[in-house]
Amino acid sequence: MSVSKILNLGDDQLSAKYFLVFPNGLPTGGDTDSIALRIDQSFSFPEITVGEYEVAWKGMKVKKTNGTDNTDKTFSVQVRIDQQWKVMDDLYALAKATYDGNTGTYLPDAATRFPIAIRFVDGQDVVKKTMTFQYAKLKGFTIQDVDPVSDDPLRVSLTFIYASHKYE
Amino acid sequence: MADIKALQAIANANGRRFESERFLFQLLDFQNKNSFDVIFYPTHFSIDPTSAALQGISVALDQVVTRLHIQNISIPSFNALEFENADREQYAKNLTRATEITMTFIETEQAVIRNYLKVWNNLIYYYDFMKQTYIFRDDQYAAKRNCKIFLLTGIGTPSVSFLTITGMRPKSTGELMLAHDEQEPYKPEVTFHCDRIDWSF
Repeated sequence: MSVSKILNLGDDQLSAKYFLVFPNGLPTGGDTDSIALRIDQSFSFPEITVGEYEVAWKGMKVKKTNGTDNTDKTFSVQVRIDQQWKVMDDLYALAKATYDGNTGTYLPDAATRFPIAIRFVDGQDVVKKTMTFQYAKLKGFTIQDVDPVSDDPLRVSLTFIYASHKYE
Repeated sequence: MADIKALQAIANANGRRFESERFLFQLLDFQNKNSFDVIFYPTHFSIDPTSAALQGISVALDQVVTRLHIQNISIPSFNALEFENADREQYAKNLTRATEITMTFIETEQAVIRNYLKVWNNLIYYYDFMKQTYIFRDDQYAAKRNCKIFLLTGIGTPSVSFLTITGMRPKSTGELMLAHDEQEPYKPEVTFHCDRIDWSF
């Protein structure tokens, strides 16, 4: 192992070089570009994990995986709200499709699910890898704390659930 | 007092054997209970026109229900041997066969399971409005379905042994409890009567 071998590995993917997109838009409509461009906080990927169990042999512990999906399948993003509240209106329409707490109604599952993709780009802004959360659905919608002395813009926190993920 | 070095040598020798056996043990692929395929198919094809038509609808629904809607299957102990004591020996006396299995389905808003069970039950009996009573159909064999349950390996292929349930008919649906604060979807628990249950080997 030499320094030249490490240098020849190529450039590392920078964690800041990503953006979030809604490839098929939102099922309830709205300006998805405007929403995507106002997502500026960090993004945490759910841990992809499998269930496990233990068996014993002569008192010794053996750990095994059991083929059950233990991934939480939930992630959150924060979106800045514009002064025309267009982003908020679009997201609130989406939240109401999932569940309208005022009337207790909700749209069929197939009508409220859509893909969300995280795209990583290289130094030349060429997309190198896309991770798509398939059949995502808005589950939680929170207007973040307001504060009379805050310098920050108002944000909403969105929690999504999804069915499966795909690396491309 | 035992020689500690001699004891240690025995422990080390046995430990090496245990270590190799444990290595083999931990590489075994144990059969998981969360991956299985189910197939229903008729035991007989009816020649009675009404029963044949209902059987056709019911068999068409089989694929949808068995592929998508079965949540869990509970199979009681079956083919249990009874033994009899004679002097100092025990002799096999009787074989007790299970006659019921339970399956839990997940219902949709389109009432796929209710519809499926209704069509299946219709092969056993129907309500005669003229006579104001339930009538059992002549061809009771048309309602009998066989079921194969394949346990799957990690790569999705059936494992070497499978279960066959012969002569299955729906017997009863478990209690339905509705509540305004319920969070889980409706999962009807259906008990099926069967003629017998067998492992392939």
